[in-house]
Amino acid sequence: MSTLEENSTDRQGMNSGPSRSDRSAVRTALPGVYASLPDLVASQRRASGFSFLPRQPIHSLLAGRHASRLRGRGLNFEEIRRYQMGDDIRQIDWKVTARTRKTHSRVFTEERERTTLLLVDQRITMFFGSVKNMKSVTAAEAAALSAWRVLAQKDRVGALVFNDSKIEEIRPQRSQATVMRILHAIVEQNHELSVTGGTQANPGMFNEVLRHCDRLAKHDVLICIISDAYGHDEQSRQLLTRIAWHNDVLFAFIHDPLEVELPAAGRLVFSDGRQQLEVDTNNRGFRERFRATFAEERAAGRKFLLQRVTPVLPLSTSEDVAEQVRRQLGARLR
Amino acid sequence: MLTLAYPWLLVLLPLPLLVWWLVPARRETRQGLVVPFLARLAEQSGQHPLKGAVILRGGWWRWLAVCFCWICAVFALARPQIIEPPVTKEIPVRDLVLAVDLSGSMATKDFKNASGQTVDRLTAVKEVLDAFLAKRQGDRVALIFFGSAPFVQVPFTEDLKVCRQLMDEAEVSMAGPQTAFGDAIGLAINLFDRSEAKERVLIVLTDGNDTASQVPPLKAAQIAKDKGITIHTVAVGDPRAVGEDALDENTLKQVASTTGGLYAHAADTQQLDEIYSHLDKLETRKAQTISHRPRHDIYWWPLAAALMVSMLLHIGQLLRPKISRRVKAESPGRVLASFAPFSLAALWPLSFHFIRPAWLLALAPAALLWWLLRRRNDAKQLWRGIVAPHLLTHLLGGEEKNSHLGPLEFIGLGWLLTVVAIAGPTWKQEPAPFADDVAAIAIVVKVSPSMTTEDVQPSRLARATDKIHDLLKERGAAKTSLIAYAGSAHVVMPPTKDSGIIDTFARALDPKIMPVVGDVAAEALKLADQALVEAGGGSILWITDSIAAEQKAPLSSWRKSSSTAVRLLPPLFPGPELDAVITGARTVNASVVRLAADDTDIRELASASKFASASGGDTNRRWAESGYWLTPMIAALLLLFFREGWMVPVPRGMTR
Repeated sequence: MSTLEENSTDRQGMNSGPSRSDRSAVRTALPGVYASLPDLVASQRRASGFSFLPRQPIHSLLAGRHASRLRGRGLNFEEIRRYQMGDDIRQIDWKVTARTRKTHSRVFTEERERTTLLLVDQRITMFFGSVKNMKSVTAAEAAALSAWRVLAQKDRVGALVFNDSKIEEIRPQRSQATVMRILHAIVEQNHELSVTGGTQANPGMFNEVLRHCDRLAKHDVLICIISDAYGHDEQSRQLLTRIAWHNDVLFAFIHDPLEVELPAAGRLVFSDGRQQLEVDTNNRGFRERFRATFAEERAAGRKFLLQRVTPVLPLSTSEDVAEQVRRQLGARLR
Repeated sequence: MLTLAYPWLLVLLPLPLLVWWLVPARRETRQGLVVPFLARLAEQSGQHPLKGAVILRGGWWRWLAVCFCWICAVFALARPQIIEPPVTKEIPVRDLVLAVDLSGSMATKDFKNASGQTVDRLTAVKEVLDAFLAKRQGDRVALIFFGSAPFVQVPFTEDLKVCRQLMDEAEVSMAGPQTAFGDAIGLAINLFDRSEAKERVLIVLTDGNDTASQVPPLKAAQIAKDKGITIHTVAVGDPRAVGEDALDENTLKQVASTTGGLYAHAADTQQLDEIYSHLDKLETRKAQTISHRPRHDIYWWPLAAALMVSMLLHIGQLLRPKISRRVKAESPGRVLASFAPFSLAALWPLSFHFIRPAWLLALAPAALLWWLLRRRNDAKQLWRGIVAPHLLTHLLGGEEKNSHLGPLEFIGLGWLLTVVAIAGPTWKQEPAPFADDVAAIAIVVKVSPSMTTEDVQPSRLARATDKIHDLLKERGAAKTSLIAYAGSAHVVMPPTKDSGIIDTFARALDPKIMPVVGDVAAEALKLADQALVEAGGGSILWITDSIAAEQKAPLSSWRKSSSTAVRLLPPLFPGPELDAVITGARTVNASVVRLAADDTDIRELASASKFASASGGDTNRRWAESGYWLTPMIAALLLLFFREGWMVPVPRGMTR
């Protein structure tokens, strides 16, 4: 861990100064490969047609997810109704219960406030893409869209932008400046990615950021995890369970078509930047196993998350992010 | 017959095993696509990721092909040659003596030739002999002319061309007006005594009326019969003629029948054919000349096989991939252009050319194949269609360290070398000890009374003759021409490979036979030049003891018109005379070879004249196969392919 940090600081030291801005200038000119700040800022106009609020269109992924519209104790009293199994016993209106001799509970409607926390993955494993965008770019765009959307809903938005060595925390606030800070942090980390940079994938960072998020989000926070879930394990499941207990979690799963399925294209050399592997993709059995493992893993993850009332929003790198989000969350437009 | 020039090179055959064992495997670093799911790939494919190292392994067919190519290359290295049977020298030959009547009666115009014209008898004889000699290729023929006395015009020679030429020069009454038929038979008997032939055939062409013989023809025929000589007689002339010119058919028939020969009339084709078929039946004998076994290098046969196999192997690799993708092709012109320097190099030197230039066409498919292979092995090409190009450039990791001189480059180089070797580059002629390869020489001898001076023992001319004899021996069966001059220049002997004739004629040179006294050196050199053109180029050896001052102008004008090299051998001891000759020699830029007591001068002359001015139209010219010297390089290149992992990366689509 320490060596990694040293490595990264070395690299940053090397790239600091005017070279960083040069690099950014160069990388901004590479659409699909690197996220560009102007594009992310401009995506404010596209952040419409979907909502993270409980009231969801009927075909939305988020529709029907909430057993109750109330998360925690809301401020606006709506009604008193017969106690139902699962109702918080603290909500029981003892006066009405005593008078009617039937247990009644009070129902509050609106949330007071929905702070949104974006967990934006910019690790080296996100620096991959085969069709349109890199996964990291897709993640950046999704994060920008969400941030702008939340701001439009007059809610507070914060972010944890993390790469293989560090976590950049932006405290939730209700201001455009905060969104810009988030975008800056994303773009900066995004531009640090490179296959030749020598960055080694750090699977532990996923749990690290979940832990950080757990500390930060006490309750009633909409947590948007925008990641490829690289490095998830038993501990991350526990962490997620704990986070989801008091918060809403939305998992934007970033994936690339090549991760899903390999083409039959003979012998191909794959690498992780250091080591190589030559694989015969004409082997049907191998391709099938490759496809199956990914599908299984994804299904297992999805099942787990759904058990924790966590919807999964799959985002492919092959399509425009806003379109995908709108299609899955804003089916109303169809 | 197939032989190997260097069969010991076959011990190289197991060399690949050494390479396989000793040379560490080549770990190829190839550009891989940097993916986040490498661990999953490793798990599913059951392999372990290696630190940028891929040992390429080919299938059994690949090893089969490489082994085949190696065997071919070693075989080519051993220099297989086809040794042709020494055809030209071992064909059956017979010794024939032709006796031609040159008496005054031969001038009688009473003969109707094939085209119906009435010609004199000698012309008829020439026509008959022309037809005859044309059929006697490979036989040794001697020519006797007889008139008042017989003389040997041509001793036994295989050079029938010279024979015919000398025959053409024959004139009526050259040997006196009378007919010494009997003596001619006697001379032929003498000639045969020096021959080893078992079957001895004399063909006499005469009008038969013996007028001057010391020995009557019948008597001579009797002796000839005792010596086992068959005499065929061919009568020339009109049987109805009378007097001095009468045709003595009876004598001719008797002579023929006495010796068991045949009689024919020159006008009677059927009878002549009978004689010819009789001659064909004669027992032949093998000529005892140096055996002449041309070797043809066929190193390019195995090379061609190896080239085919290796190209087929790679074509197979190219065709294997099941996936086909439309790829925007870059222009192959760039690749072809890289061959341009080679074609430019081919222009130099001018004598550089290819023996089998058609094989160079194989460069085109080879270049195309190489380009396709290279394109296919380009990492970007491999991924094109799978990963979007704008992302791909940022996702390829692992620099290709061996990109400059990898197996692909070596196989390209190997193909280039092989094709060039097969095409047979050459720029020099084979310095083989074959007669055809030695340039001709024209010997110009001044035959003036001064040449008989005996300051050089036995005399200048005799010494010159001896030197000519030695030179002829040294040069073997190379073409030589002899020109004598004094006040007039004469071609004594047109270019011939038969050194015996030259020797004989050189010995017969005598100032007395020269019709005009004087010095026409320039004219003689001109004649020599003509003779050399006929022989296919060569140089002049000039033997003289003086160069007349008035010849200076014609000599220098000759020099301007001709580029033939001239070597001067003055049969003189050092002194003012030699100095004068050397000064005179400058006019013709002749290099002077000084007379030596031993053979050094002759050897110098022989070696200098060997390759002199090889600018003739000799079609028998052999070019040295220089392509063979590329085979060690090809073999060395091929050897590398036995190194583990050293192979052209198998394009995708290959299954293990």
